[in-house]
Amino acid sequence: MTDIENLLRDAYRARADLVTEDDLTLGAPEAPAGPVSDQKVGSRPSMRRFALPLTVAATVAALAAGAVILASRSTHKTTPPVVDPTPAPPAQITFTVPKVNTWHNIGPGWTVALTSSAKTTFTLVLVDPSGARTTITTLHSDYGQILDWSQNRQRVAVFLAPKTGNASLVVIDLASHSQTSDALSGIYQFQGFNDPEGTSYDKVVDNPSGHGQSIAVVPVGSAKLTSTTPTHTLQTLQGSAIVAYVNGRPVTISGGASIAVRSGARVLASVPSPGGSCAPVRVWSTRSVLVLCSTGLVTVSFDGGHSVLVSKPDPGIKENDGTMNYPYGLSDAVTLNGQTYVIEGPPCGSAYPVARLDSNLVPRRVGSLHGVDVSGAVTGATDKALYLLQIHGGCPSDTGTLYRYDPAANTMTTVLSGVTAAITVSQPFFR
Amino acid sequence: MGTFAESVPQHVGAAVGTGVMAVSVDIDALYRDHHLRLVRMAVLLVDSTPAAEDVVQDAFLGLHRRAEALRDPDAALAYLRRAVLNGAKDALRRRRTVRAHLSIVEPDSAPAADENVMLADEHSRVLAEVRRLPLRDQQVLLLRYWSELSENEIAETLGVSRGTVKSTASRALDKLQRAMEASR
Repeated sequence: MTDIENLLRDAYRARADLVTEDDLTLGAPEAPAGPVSDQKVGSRPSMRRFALPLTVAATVAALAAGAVILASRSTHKTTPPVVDPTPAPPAQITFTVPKVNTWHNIGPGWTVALTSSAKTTFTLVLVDPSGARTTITTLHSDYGQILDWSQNRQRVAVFLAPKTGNASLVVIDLASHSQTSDALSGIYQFQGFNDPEGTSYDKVVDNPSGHGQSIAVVPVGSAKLTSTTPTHTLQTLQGSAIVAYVNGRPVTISGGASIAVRSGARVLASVPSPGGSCAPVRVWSTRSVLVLCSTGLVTVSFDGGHSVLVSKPDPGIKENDGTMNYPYGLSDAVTLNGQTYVIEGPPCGSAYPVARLDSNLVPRRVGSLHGVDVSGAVTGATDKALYLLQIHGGCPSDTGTLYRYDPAANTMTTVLSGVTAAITVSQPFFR
Repeated sequence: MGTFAESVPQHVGAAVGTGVMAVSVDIDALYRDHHLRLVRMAVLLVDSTPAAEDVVQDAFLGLHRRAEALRDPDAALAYLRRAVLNGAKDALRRRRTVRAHLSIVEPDSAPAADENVMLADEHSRVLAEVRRLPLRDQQVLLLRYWSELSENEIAETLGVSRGTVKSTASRALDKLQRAMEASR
C-alpha cells in the first residue's frame, strides 16, 4: 500500500471509531407489517415519505426553490406508534372532486406562468386554452418559482429569492393584481394553499410535544410564516399521505403496508398495498388510487382491493441518482388518446419526464416530440393534451418554452416562451 | 441497542409469486452484527451521525420490504451496503439543494465540533479532501479502504465493471494525493 492509501485507511478508521453504540439514538426499526399503522417505532418522521398534495409543477418548483422543503428533513425525535382507534371497515369508497366556483371560469387547459426576459425580472402571465395571454404583474428578484395555484384559481403563490437578503412568499390575486408578501428566513415545509380561496398556507411543523409533525394552517400575510408554533393543527401526519375528497370532505390517503383512507384519525377504508409497501401518488378514478410500489405504478381499487399494474419500472434507471422518486423514477401516469404516458422524476439533471409504455408496460422514454426536447417538466394534462415545459439545461431556474402536445392531432404547439415555471389546470383527478 | 422488531419472525416466509419461499436470513442478527458498522460507513459519507443513522434505518426498512433480497445473508448484506450508499447520496444531494438556494445551516448537516477536534490534523485534512471528490470516487475509496471489499465486490455493489472500479480508484487516489500535496 502507498502512503496515501495508508493515510486514507487510518483516517477512515479514526473517523468511524468516533461513532460508538452510545452515540446512537435510534432503536431498531419495526418491520412494516401492521395492516393500518405505517409509522415505524423508533424511526424519525421523514418528509420524504410524505407524498404531497401539490401539483407536479409545484412540486418541481418547490424542490427547486429549496426554501420550501418538500424533501427529507431529519429530526432527532423518536415517534411513538400511531394506532388507529377503529379498525378499517370493508373498503368501498367514492372519491369526488371538490366543488369550487372558479374565478373567471378557469378550467382545464388554462395556465399560469412565470416568465423572465431579464435576469432579475419576472412576469406573471395567465394563458387561456386558446393561447390568449394576460399579463398580471411584474416581480423583481434573482430567483422565482410558482409554488401553488389556489383551487378557485384566483390566487397564485410565488417564491422569490434574491441573491442577498431574505426570500419571500408572495401571493398574487389574479383579479385585483394585489400582492401579499411573507418574508422567509429559514427552512420551510410548505404544502400549498390550505383553502380553495388561497387565503392560508399549509405548513409542516414539529409538534410542540416533540413527537411527530403536524400541518399548521398559517394565514397569508399574517407574518406568522416564520413561526415554529402551529396556529392550528390540521392533522397528524402518518407516513406517506396525500389529500383527497370523499363526498366533498377532505380525507387523507396514506401508504405503507396498506393504503388507508382516513378522516382525521378514523379509518374510512383500507386495502393491503399490492407490493409490500407503497406510497400513494394521486386519486386515479372515483374508486381507485394510483400508488408507487417497488413493482412500479399500480392502481388500487377500493371496490374489493384489486390492483392493476399501470407501469413497470423504467429499465433505464438502474439506481436512484437522487433526482428520481425512489426507487424507479416513476412519478405519475396519464392516458391520452389510448396511450399511457408515464411521467418520470423531477426535471433536473438528466431526467426524462415523459415515457410511453410499450406493450409489456415498460416505459420507453420520449426524448423529443416533433423535434422538441421534452426532458423538462409536465405542467398539466387535459383529456386531449399534455403541457410540457422544455427547460434549457434541464434544471428549473432557467427559462424554457411551454408546449401543448396533442397526440390525437399529432401536433406540438408553442404556448409561451421565456417560461421559468408554470402550472396548467388539468382534468379532475390528474392531480 | 434494541433488536430488530420483536414481531419479525427469525426466519421470514417471503411470498414469491404465487408460492411461499422459506428463507433463512436472520434480520435480527444482521442488525445486531452490522448496524454499527453500517452507520460508521454512512457517517464517512454524510459526516453526521444522526443523518447516518437515518440512512441505515431506511436501509433496514428497505431490506425487510424486499423479499428477494433475503435469499441469503450475503445478498442481504450487499443489499444493505448498496442501500446505505444510495441513501447517503440522496442525503448529500438534498443537502446541496438546500444550500444552493438558502444561506442556512441544517442541524443535521454539520459534524459535531468535538468530532473534528478528536481527529488528527492529517486525518481531518484527508477526509476533507475526500469529500471534495465526486461521489462515485468517494464510494469506491470507502468500499476499498474502509469496507475492505475486493474490486469484484465493489463492482457488484456499485453495479459497474471491475475495470471501472480499478480506474476510478486509481484516479481518485491520484487526485487525493495531489490535493494533499497542494494543501501542505
